[in-house]
Amino acid sequence: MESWHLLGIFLMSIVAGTFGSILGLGGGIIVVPALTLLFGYDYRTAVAASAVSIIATSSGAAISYLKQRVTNTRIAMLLEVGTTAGALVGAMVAAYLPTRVLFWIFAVLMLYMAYSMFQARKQELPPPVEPDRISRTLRLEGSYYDQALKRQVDYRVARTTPAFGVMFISGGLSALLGIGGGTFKVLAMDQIMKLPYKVSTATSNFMIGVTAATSALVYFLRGDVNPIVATPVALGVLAGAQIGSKLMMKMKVRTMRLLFIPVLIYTAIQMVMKGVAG
Amino acid sequence: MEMSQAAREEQLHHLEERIVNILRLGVIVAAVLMSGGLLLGLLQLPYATPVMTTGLVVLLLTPIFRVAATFLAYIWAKDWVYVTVSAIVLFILALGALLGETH
Repeated sequence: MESWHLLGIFLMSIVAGTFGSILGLGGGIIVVPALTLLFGYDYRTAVAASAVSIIATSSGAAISYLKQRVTNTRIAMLLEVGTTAGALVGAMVAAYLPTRVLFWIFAVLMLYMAYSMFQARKQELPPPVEPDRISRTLRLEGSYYDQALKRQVDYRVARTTPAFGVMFISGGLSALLGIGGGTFKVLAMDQIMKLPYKVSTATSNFMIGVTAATSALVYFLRGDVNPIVATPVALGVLAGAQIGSKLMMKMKVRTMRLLFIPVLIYTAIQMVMKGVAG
Repeated sequence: MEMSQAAREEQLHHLEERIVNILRLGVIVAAVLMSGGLLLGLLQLPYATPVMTTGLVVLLLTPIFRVAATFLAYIWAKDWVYVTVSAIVLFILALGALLGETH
């Protein structure tokens, strides 16, 4: 083992874990291009290491977010039904669906949401909403203390059904492409259910570990997980998640959104390139 | 039987504390094993790869174990709505792993 090489992977992963835990996306968006382009690993090894990094970000950051009560575990469990079912069904019916059209629609949807997010960039909290019937029955409302605003934030949840629908379809699409899973989770909670932004990213962060765990398990059994790469990635990301989750609690929502919008645009372009062009 | 809002809130808080403990245990055990394995490798000692691999497996199982523990906690709390929701998630995860779908 080349120790400088390992140190490089470790440091890159700290950055990935920090940003991943702040944005609720996992570190894959940094880990995959860095491992392939900078460190010269093949795509399969990089994707497998990225699945491990998502689990590390999710579990590492969830500890602080849960303690601060910013994660909504009920919404997480409910939407997990949507994404996991979507991923499973998506893989089975992909051959019979106009997937190219769906990728276009969802890429455009993502860009539209990037635009409306940009418009709402000055809004620290969403305006109060009238909760829908499902969110009342499932007791999805919550409350957390916002360190940036220095006050308790109570929130209720709207439009659970359309959010669930978007999670189902995007769960399938992102399973097919291996991208966009966390992005759509944040968007569904922020843009559709009108949750406070920090609750959306912390809850997305909580959920992504579960989806990534099943894919990582499969990569593992296939022998794609290379311990010499995945270990420094996981350790670096765990350290980064500690930093990121502490920073996020003190951050202004405006800053978080401005970090997220370029990621949205990048992911939408990637979705069209991978999904439509093949 | 309708529980009071405060009792529900208390129960949720309790559940989340348990989840924190599970995640913390998983992350610490995984981190110790992974750094131990990495250290063995750097010192060119044997068993580096199996120790790292064990650490990675622990890390990988932590979220799945978290869902399973949440499911049991909901049963214990007799919260049947969420018993159903978490049972569906567990079922789909198991099915996905069996069918070998990757993302």
